[in-house]
Amino acid sequence: AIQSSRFSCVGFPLAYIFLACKKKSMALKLKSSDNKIFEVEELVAVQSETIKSLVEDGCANNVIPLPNVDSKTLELVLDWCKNHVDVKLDEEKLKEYEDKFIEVDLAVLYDLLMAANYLNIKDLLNRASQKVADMLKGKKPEQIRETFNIVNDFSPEEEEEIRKENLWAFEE
Amino acid sequence: MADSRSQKPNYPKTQRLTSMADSSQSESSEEKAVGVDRISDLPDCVLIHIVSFLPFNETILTSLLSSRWKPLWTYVPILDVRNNFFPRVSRVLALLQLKAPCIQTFRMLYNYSINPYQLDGLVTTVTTPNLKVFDLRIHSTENYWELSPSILSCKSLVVLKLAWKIDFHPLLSSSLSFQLPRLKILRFKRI
Repeated sequence: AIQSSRFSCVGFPLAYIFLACKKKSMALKLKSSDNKIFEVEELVAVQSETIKSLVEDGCANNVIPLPNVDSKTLELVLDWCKNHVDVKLDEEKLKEYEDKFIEVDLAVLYDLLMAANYLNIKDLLNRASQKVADMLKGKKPEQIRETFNIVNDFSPEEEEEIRKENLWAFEE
Repeated sequence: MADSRSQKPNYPKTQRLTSMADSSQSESSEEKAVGVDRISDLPDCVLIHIVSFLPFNETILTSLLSSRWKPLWTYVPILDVRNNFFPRVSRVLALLQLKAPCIQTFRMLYNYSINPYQLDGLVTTVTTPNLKVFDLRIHSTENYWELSPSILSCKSLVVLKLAWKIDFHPLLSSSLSFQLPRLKILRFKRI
């Protein structure tokens, strides 16, 4: 086991260095909404489909502005991307990382969802959505409203109507 | 001191993100994030994605939250029904009419015997030009049931899986003809 892990440690980075060299090994510059510049390796940044298509279209020579992502969120997102450059490396460790990564408060979780959606990073969007879904699961509507501060804008009659239309199918 | 430092800096940034995403909303200036409903400000596609991680009956439950949430469950592209979530087939059929055009994946696991008419109704309802995955695992049917022709000519279908326990021969029909140009995975199994 030790041997094989050592092998992959040597093998994979070399492959990436080679790839990176071939692609001019250029670091991309990303600008957050609060005007901070992040220099990132292209391989890390192109996990965002949005950035990837900019690179492919040759629009990534200067600074790439990301007006919908603030620096705090972008830092988190890039950390996620760095850890997902090579997903085959160690699945268990990656899962551990993801679980820890997503343990954030709601405000940060929303920012991550918005950023993952805007930057089009599927695995991050999935993980963050799963996290929210876990918080919805098995809860009554009242509990969910309380957790997420959702205001019930139905009149009692409307609510009853929806219950009748949608939920009667599941009552024994 | 330490408290105010750890709490405050988040809000200006998070608020900007929301107001940018939702430009129609007037800027509600310096409202504190405590008690603010930010989840409902997420774009439709993100909310639908979140709801799609829930079991079928719970996706419907989200329609009770608020008018923002009410229609979302009907756009979830997955319909995954399991025994305990599916007590009355006929009742659920009416509901599914609302949702059917969006279903891309239909999975059903039913460990009891099912009425062939209801099963037909179900299969016909979910068979739309968008259906890609049809995965049906049932114990048995009350009477002879033959796989609906609609599913065998569903041009969008990529995956077709059937599994059953007893006395169920969905493919013994004499008029069997397939028209499934996109099909990649076909699996019939007796379990």
